[in-house]
Amino acid sequence: MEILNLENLSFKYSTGQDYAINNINLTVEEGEILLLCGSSGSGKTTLLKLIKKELSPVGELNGKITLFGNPRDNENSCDVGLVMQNPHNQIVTDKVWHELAFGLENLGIDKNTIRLRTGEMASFLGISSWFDKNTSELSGGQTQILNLASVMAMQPRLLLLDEPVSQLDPIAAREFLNAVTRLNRETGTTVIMTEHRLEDAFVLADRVAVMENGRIKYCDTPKSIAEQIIKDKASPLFNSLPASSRIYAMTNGDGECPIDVRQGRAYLRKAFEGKYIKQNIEKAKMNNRQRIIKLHNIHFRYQKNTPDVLRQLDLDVYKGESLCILGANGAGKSTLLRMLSGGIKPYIGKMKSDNKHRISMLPQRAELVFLKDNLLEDLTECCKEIGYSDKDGAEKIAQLSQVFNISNLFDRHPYDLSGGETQRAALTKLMLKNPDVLLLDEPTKGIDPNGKKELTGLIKAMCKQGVTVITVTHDIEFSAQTADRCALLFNGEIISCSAPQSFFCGNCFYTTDANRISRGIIDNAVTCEDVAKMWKASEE
Amino acid sequence: MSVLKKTIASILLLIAVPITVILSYTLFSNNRYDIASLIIAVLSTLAFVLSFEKNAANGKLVAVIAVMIALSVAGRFVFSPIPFFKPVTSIVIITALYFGGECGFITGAFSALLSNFYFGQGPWTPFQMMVWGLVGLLSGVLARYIIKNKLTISLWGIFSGVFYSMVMDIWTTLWADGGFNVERYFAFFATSLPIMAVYAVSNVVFLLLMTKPIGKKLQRIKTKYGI
Amino acid sequence: MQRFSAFHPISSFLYLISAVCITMFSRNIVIAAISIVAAFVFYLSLKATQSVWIYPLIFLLTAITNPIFSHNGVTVLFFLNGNPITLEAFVYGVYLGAVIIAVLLWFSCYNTVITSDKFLCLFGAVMPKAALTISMALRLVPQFISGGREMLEIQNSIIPIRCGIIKRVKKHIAIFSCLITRSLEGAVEQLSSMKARGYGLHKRVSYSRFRFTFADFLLLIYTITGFVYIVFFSGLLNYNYYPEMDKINFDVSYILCAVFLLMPTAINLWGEIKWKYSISKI
Repeated sequence: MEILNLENLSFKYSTGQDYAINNINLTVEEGEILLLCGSSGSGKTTLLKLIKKELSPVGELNGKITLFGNPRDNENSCDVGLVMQNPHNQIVTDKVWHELAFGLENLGIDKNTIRLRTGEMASFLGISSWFDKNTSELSGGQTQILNLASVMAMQPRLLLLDEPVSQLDPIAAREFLNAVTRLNRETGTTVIMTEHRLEDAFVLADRVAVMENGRIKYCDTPKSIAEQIIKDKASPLFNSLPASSRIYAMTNGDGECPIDVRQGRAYLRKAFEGKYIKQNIEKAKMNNRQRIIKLHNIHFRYQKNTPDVLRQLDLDVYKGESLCILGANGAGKSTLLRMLSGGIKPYIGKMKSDNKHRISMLPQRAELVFLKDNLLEDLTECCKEIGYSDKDGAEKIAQLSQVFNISNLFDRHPYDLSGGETQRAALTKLMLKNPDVLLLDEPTKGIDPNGKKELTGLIKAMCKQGVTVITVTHDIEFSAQTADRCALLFNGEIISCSAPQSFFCGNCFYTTDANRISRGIIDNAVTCEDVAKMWKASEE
Repeated sequence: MSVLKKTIASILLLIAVPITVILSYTLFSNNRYDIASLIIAVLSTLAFVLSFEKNAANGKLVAVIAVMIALSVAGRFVFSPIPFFKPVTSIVIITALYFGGECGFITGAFSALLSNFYFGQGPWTPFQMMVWGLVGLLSGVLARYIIKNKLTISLWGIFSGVFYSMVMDIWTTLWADGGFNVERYFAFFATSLPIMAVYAVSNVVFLLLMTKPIGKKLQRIKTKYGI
Repeated sequence: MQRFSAFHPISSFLYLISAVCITMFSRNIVIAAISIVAAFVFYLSLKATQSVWIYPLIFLLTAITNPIFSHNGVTVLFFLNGNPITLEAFVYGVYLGAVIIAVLLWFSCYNTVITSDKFLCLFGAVMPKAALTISMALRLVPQFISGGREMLEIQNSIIPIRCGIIKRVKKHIAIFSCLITRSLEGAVEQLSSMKARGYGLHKRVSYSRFRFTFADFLLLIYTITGFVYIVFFSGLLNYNYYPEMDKINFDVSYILCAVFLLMPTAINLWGEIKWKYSISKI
């Protein structure tokens, strides 16, 4: 049965010049998972909002939208559910159980049915253990699961997800997508999802539609879409592809394009038939570098009678290196960052730093760095407060804005910038006072793969100038690209710390996709680029 | 329809107030002003909340009002390093200036209720709700005159600080004395003078700095959602 | 086992409010004393955390200052600056202090028993829109507080806030107005999330998790009859301090009043005993 049918759909915002949606034809069958991808500004979100009657933006709409066989405007609103990007802004009430009931209350359903439906939904999605909690105590991942559950409690036939995992860490993102898959497989709910991080979403989609400038460019199975993107060479989506597909592309693969680790291994095994390659591991050379921070046997707890958050923690930081600290939620990463920034002090142990360093920290939500309504004004004000003269300040801003490529954003409101732009602007502000140490807290959250690549470049450039960059992140692929050394924080202590190659090759599960794909075929390759390099070498 | 309901609410209020006064006179041989004032506070607050409840146009405003209430309560914590320098009254006034007296009353009354969820409810809750609600109501009714220029805004800030402090002192006197003892009232009034001054100053500072920028944002939301 | 806290909000709320009203309406020092004792044992049985150490201080202050402000009464104890200090005024002060302490104690119990979701359940039934507003605000407050603290910490790390009250106030206000901007933007997004879930399309009902059982009904009846009897029929509440204090005679209604006010403690104790007994059976 056709769930959704779009016929020659075009849409122009009342404030815009061009068509945001341009002549789209699309049919979605019952029980399908359709992935809409495309770079930001390609019209994905607008398309989703047009399907949801209540949120349909104001503007000129041509063409037909048919839902469940009827025109959109005749449809019952609760048949289409929507989960948006920012988990926290969608929550309405203060208790988890009340949030689950919110939609049902709006429909005027009787008490006992609400009791049943909320209970059912909570047990299906594993919410039972935090059913009584306050919504403000939940983590981002839990919050997004709650959003999904409270939409699903209304039993929609079509579920729309607008970049639902872009604000989550990779582990929470995977959990969320698993929940969506389960809902789809076990209840037959049709799902349309937009996303620009394709690695995880690709595997579970039945069909993928690629959007560009308001049009649907291709719409096909994930495999053929991956092949199309690879053929396209300059496609901005290339970096979003799963590692196996990228390896396939970089090694000029033929045959079917692999899209997950298993298929990637099968492909690589065939391509390297009989060969076994071992790359030498480069040791991190830190002995000739100046050690600037030394943490020795650090213990820390927030309250007298709470358990230690950090215990027996040892860590050395060297000048001009890029250090990535990895670890699961609750391992103490943010606490360690706060200690490095001087916000808290250990109760046992000592943090030694050679001299007073200027430390700057980029928070997870980079927009919090700004106070003014206008970016340039904010930067100028900051210069003044640091104590630069007007002329020096202007020079400094001009120079840094070139490095971080934000000159065209000066007149904008800091809150109106995209994720990557906000981050670059925030880094500019932090670099104004010439810090020796830069702390980055989860810098890849909400950033698309191209943005990540750019960030990697910026971090490397800063390290070259002698700035030490310490990054706390969940993002394994990013740390493999960016770090000189990686450290694994577990349960409050650093249990492993070395150069990315030896770090990831020593781990079996906590490692990059490229490493998992190539293990046993090419040893000690960590990134897709490593694999490609080894492949080239073996071809010659 | 809503006009009718509003009139009914105000008539109820007009009847309820004298009845409670008479009731408290006849029920108790002594003049129990404290209980009478408490009953008045509860009933008048209820009347306004009910009229807010019945006004269908407020449905869309709920999200914005909730934000304003939460801001005024959170403000008490954010500004905790600076004693008595609190933005509650100013936020209530600004909400009232842009969304009218009714919303002003609700923001004020619920700010009091909500902050007592954190600092503890007590017999003072209804009175506090009424006084902050009244500040909101008056600001909404007089919005046109208040928003004229910086001077009027500042004067209103001072007035509301003094008003709040003086009326709350009445309650404290009633509560601590059982009746209204003028000497005791002046004693309370004198001890709360410095705090009142800080209230007034903080109101003026907040109002001068925030009325325009917040007003711009509230106005934008108002037009965007056709409120 | 705090059995009393498990009652339906309507019953427990009405009971607590009646207890407060009886205490406040009464002019009788004996009832004030009974109320203090009842509230305090209830407070103990709840293991409430609200601190009460300041209450004796309030009591003393009220009792001592009343004779200074009030010179009614016939039994003059001594003169202070030419003003008579009377026994009646002193006793009246003691009574006032006792009532204040009793009411404060009852409210400490109230704050433990009537949690915010119970309160919202009560008012959601009558005023769903107002209850929703409060619920939304209750969610936002902790979010704003932590948001504000985070921004303060971040701004402080970029440029340390210098001493001087004006500088500090300025920085705090800048941060607070940023908080406002962000929150209002969030409100817009929240409104679309509400609309997406059918808000404003139908008449909204208010769901609460509490069920009204027979036990709740019994407590309700008990509360109403007890309250009406004590306030209107027992004749205990009226008492005169000036010019001369009334005599206090023993009356069986005092015992009834004590029984009424000690009920929640008894309910909690009963729960405790039952719990112990059911554990010993395992």
